[in-house]
Amino acid sequence: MSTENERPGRSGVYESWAVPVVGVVLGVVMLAIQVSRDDVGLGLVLLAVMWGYVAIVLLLRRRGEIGELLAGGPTDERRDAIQLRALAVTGQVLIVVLVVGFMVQMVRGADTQPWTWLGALGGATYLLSVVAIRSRS
Amino acid sequence: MVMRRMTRTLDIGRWKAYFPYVDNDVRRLRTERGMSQAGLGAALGVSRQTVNAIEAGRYDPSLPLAIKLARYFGRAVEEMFHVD
Repeated sequence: MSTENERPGRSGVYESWAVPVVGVVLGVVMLAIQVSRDDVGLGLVLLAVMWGYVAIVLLLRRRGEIGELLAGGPTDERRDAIQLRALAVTGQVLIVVLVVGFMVQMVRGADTQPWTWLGALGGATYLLSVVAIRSRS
Repeated sequence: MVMRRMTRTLDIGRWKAYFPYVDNDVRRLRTERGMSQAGLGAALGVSRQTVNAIEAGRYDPSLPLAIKLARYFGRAVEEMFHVD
């Protein structure tokens, strides 16, 4: 964590608008997919969820640090550490869900393939990350 | 088990076991100069909340930031930060 990265309000135009723009675009893409499947209702719900999230994030952005963290606002080494640890917790939850989901599907005798591929992707990513990060640390 | 693992990740006390508690004089030096946390944060390139977290001992700055802080106040790092 270099101090070179600690300029006040370090967050370029692209970074500060990345979350809202991605949210808006994802909402539109989801709507388009559902429209192509003749399910406009679900498409509108998905659009509302995504745009609602963007609206909340934009509202919170100027009201406190949590909003800035969620919106990809100005960052520094401590905020980077918060993001990193939050990401680690998220990863742990997802891995547990994948393993439990895989087990449940196996017990039910159902198709485990999606869980297998996601689990393999998670495991491979973790393994490669450890190797890559270790070699740089 | 899962909750325990997650709690361990979030547990600041566990991190402090790896990184011993570090006390510092940042708040005293800042107030002596009549500076606000936001002002010091702007000078150092970090947020007001980060300055607050450092002063409260919730966050130990990286070595580069600790050096930057020390230089800002014209002190040596070991004069500003005290490891128990």
